Amino acid sequence: MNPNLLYVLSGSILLGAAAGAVGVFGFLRKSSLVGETVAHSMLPGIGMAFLISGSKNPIVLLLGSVVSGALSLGFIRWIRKFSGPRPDAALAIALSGFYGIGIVLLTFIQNRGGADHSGLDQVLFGRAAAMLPEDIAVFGGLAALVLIAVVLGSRSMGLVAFNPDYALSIGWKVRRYEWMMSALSILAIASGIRAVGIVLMAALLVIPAATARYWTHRLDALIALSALMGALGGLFGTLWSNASSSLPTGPLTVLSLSALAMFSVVFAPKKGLLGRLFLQKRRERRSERENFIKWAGQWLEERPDTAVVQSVGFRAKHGLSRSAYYRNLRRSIAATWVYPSVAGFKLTETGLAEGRRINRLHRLWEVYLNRKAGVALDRVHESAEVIEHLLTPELERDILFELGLCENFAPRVEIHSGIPLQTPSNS
Amino acid sequence: MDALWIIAIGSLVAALCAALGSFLYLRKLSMLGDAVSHAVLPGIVIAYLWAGERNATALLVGAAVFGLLVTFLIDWLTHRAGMQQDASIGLSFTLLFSLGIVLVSLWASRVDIDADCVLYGEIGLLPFDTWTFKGMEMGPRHFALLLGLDVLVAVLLWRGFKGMQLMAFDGVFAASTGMAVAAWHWALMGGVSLATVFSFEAVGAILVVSFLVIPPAIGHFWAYGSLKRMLWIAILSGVASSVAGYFIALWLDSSIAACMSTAALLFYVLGWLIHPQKGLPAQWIRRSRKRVPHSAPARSH
Repeated sequence: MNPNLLYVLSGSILLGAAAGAVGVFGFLRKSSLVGETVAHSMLPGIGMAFLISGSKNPIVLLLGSVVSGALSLGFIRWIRKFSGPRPDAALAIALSGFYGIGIVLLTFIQNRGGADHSGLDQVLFGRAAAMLPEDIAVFGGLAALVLIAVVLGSRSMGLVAFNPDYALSIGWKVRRYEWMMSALSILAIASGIRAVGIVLMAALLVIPAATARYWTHRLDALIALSALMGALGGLFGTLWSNASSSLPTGPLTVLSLSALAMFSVVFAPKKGLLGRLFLQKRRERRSERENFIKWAGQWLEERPDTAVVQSVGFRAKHGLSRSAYYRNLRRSIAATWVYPSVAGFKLTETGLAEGRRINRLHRLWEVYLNRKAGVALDRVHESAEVIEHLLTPELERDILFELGLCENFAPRVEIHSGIPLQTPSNS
Repeated sequence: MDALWIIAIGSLVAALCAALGSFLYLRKLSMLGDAVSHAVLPGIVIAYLWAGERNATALLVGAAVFGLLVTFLIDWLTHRAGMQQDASIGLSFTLLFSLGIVLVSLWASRVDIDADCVLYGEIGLLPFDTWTFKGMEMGPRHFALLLGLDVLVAVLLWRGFKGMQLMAFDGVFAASTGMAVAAWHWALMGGVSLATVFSFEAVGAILVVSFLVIPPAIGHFWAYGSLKRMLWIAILSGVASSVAGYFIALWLDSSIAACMSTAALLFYVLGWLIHPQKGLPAQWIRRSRKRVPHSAPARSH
């Protein structure tokens, strides 16, 4: 690998990491699209800076973009003041208005000729490979500073971004932190547009944070992961664009980031689609198994003269298919709830206890709904069918306490079956 | 003559976008308009690649497919994949736009568009792209296309004004009266993607947002609570900004479409200065008047 590429790579990794880390705040404030507006609004600043100074000195262009990014934030505030509560329209007006002015300046510069303006339009889609060593020193240094500031202030800024009302109520100077967040994101965007360009900068802010959110719910981990995603996006985008000479870096970075995001959407263990599907399947199977043992217990309760659950009658009564019956039987045997017997199965002590437990929870919930929530007796059963699989021992204790019942509460029948509920014996 | 054609095409784009954008504005979907206008780019490129040259039918299909695709993608990410809405908008349209740019760059030689056209259009060249009907010279092709679309939207607005009005202000109530709100929403989004596609060559994929948003904002600012007035003001200010923008562009020797968008922004900001009630001077006068009776009793203490 040649040393120049290594230099460019480290630059775009830093820029991506800074943008990813800062993007978390916008994400938590649910205003990720502000970044899109600020990035587009930097075009006139860059054009102006070039027109005034006549040079493409990175520091001058950076200054121009920071000034016009800040101006656009002020402009958004003004629009909101004048046009009422339409935040998205304010964003769109500032975005397209500033961008239009920027294009006017850019084409003006191009048509005017004169000083060497080539490469100025690269700010639109980014060309990381075209970054000069001094560019990388300036932008990479700035990105590193932003990263350090984010790490130092992550706790307080995260709280303000996540819940400004709470921060205000405990006496924090929320405005000051909001200013800090805006300043950091302006700096991160101003340095990042060098690598991915103005038009797609929003992606570098939004996608890493949204992707990281699939893997964690803790703020510090979220910021770290988001920075990592941004860095990976910058890395892949630059490598890819380096491999194919005609493609700009920005779109390739976005495509890499999107691939990471889509992977997370599908495969992230808890929040991902597959993970949630798996969890849902596991819950379904658990309630199926619990229903099975509950029904078996009821079967025996209704027939005191037998100890065997007859497979044919049992299946017919509950509409169990052959495969469902054997699936649950197998699982119940594995759980030592039942053991096979002639023409059916018998329950072990643990199996009986399990069936009783589910039954009890079912009836407990019915009583609770009826007494505390005033639900009519004929409406309580459906809900209890679901809740019986979800009640934890703690919840059970709480409900018993709410109802003023003791732990031995065990009604013999469900209350909707028409027989008046026997008052539980308070022992 | 070319100047007239350019102004006419610009005005048609402005009027079309102003009418559709007003509904986006009222339904608080302006940023969704931004997303759709970015996301139709791959549709346009694929249509160009597939049909060989500028083919209105292929463009129509490409735009419709990708305009709907981005709305579906946003919907899916938000409701199925559990991503928050602003993030799913940000992801969807940047993804599709990047795809479009990559396609443009890969097949730049075979496609008749380039990155510049995506960014600010080539309205100055459109008058030379004419069409003929039975040997008769019919003027610029885009003029005819846009005129047709404008007339279509005008007829739709004229026939369905009551329903559109209801939906724009209170979607829930509209749904409760039995209106097919979802169908109207899709129609609006489809209209926005069509408008984007046919304005694309004139003003580019990003500048079209300013035509979708700024004239409606002007209309809303001056409408005094009437939707009809808002629509008229939006359309007129859109047309006015394309006329003014053309002359600014002549003066500066700059991109015509960008100057039109800048003119619209100038008109909007001008409103802040001269509006008799909401304008800045009016507010200052009101505030200074309020201060007088407030300070009078303070002096007597």
